[in-house]
Amino acid sequence: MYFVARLVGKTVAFLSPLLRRGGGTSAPGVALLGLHPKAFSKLSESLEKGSVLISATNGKTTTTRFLSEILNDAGVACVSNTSGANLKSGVTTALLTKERHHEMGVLEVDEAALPEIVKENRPRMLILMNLFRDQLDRFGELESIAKRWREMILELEPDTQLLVNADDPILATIGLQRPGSIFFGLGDASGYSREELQHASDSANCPQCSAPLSYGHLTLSHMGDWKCENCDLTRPQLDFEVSEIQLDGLTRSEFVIQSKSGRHEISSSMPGLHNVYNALAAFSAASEIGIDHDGIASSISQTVAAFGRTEKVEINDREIHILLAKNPAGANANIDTLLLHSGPIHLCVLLNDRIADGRDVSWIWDVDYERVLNRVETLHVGGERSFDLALRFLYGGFEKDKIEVADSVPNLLDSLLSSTPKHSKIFILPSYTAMLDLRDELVRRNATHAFWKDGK
Amino acid sequence: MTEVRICHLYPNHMNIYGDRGNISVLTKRLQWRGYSSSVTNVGIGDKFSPDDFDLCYLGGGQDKDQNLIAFDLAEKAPAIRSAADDGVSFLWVCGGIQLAGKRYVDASGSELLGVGILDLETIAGTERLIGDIAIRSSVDGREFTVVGYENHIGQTYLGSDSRPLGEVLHGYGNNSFDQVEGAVQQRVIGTYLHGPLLPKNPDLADLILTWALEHRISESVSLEKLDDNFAVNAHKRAVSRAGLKR
Repeated sequence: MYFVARLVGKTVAFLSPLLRRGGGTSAPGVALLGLHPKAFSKLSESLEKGSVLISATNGKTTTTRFLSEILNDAGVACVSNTSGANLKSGVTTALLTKERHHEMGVLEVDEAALPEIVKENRPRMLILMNLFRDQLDRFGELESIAKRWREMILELEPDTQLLVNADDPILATIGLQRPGSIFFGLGDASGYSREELQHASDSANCPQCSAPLSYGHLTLSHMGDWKCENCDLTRPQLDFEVSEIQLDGLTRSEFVIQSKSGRHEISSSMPGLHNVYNALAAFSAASEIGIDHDGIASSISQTVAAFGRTEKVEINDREIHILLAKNPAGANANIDTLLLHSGPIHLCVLLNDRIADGRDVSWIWDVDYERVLNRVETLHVGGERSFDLALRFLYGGFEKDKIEVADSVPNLLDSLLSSTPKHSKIFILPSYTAMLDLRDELVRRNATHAFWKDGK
Repeated sequence: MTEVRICHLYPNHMNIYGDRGNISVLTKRLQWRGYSSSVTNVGIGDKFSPDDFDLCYLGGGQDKDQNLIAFDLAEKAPAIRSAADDGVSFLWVCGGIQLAGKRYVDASGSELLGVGILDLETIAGTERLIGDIAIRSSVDGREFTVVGYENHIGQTYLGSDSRPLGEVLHGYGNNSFDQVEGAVQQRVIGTYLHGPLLPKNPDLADLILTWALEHRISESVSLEKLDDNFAVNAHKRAVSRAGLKR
């Protein structure tokens, strides 16, 4: 029966891309799981060297990309869900595409789907990167996801290795539950630490006693070198530690990773502090798997952004930078990144309210757009909730007459191109489906490739 | 220049649904009309004096934060009731409407006392009422629709002293049965609608500001119209969104 089910899944996998939308990244898994509910476990078992699962609110796709590049370069052939389809149907679909020579799975997993997927996949390694406020309508409060993760860790198989971002107080505390957890974080964030918590920050209270945390340095949202003055709970000792960070605009970042094996200089073409965390997670994982450190550093330097994640697209002599922004923490990290750019800023924000975006769009009011407004030369808003964005910027203090509201993606692009001089950099911050719509139009205009061909 | 004194209660704990947007709308709409405003953050352990404010705002929070502030709020309750009786304008959203009521009974049956400025009580339900919502409102002779997003497990029932803020056109409202949303009593408004509430609902924002100004200068106020074309369009989109099948 399993073989028949698998054959059906493979057939759907072959047909889906021909049917266009979605690129066939989930449908085959849906078909297979419908016929054979244990298919995902079975497919997982077929990976000789097991799987690495990566979960987070932000950074899953990029970290997965870093790690699979590193492993593939090192001769460990990996199967991966690089298209970002990260529910059970999506990871099942990814495993269906496994070829004979694939030895390991590197899979990004949705936060809410993680406990079930961990149970069935029995990963060799689990990487927990961050939890931020996101899609309250779907996930509920951050605390409810954290609780489910806490329970998941208590039932983790003994041979699963746990890697945790120590800078996230909730995750660090989850990691401390389990002996032998590996912790990564920023040892020194000189020059990139902020003075106070961002408005959107959650969990700046001690996970153990609820007292407000104090920070040696504060990086993104509630992450940093944290300590509770009340109960003395402190960020765990770092096994992999970043220092000497140099963020060079939108083009590069350089930093050093220290571990027990020594000091490793890293240079990456992915901008911004959030990508330092992503590279650090991938480095730590690859190092624990036993990959040679020079090889890791070289693979990181050659990895380019996944579709829509700080992706650069050139069109009509202008550079469009697409920075996916689907929750306040992600949008704030993008704003930090675009502030690294020294020239004029042409800003465009796109917001849809479909299930994958979150139906509740109130989160845009928790983003600190104000920080960038005095640098903005032109401002466009679009997507299904364009007028919610227009209101956000109006009440944020931007001049009403300078807010351009676009009623369709083609009109938006036309207006962006006609209102900016040649060689401009245009920064687009779209929600998830708005990013897909935008890329569809860019593909139609032959400016980029379709997302399911990404990384191939 | 007349200054409207706004109290923002527990901004550090109760701010989950872009609540600061509501405060921006209040202060900016005053500023655009030549009034000034002050916003005072009143948190846990801070004193609330009924004579210090014309408008009092409370937003929504995570359950653990709502429990954290509930004890402090109980201490402020007499002063808050006295402000409401004195005609101060109140907008309490999401968790706020529950705390404004007489009591909240959680899933385990334990009871949390509210401030009692709205005659209502809330009992934890079994299903979350979640989605886009539109209501038709009639308050102080003004008629308007209000749109937003609701996400609550509490089932709220009104007593005889408070009226609903509106009839539900689409969505759930206070509970799974009554087809009404929110509550109004004196100049206190409680509602589950966020999104945040005020940017897309300028009529409601101006009603609350009119009340606050009248409290400040003790005479009747008629606010001039503003150019609300972004709000009108966003409102339209939200109405059509709420009208779609879930």
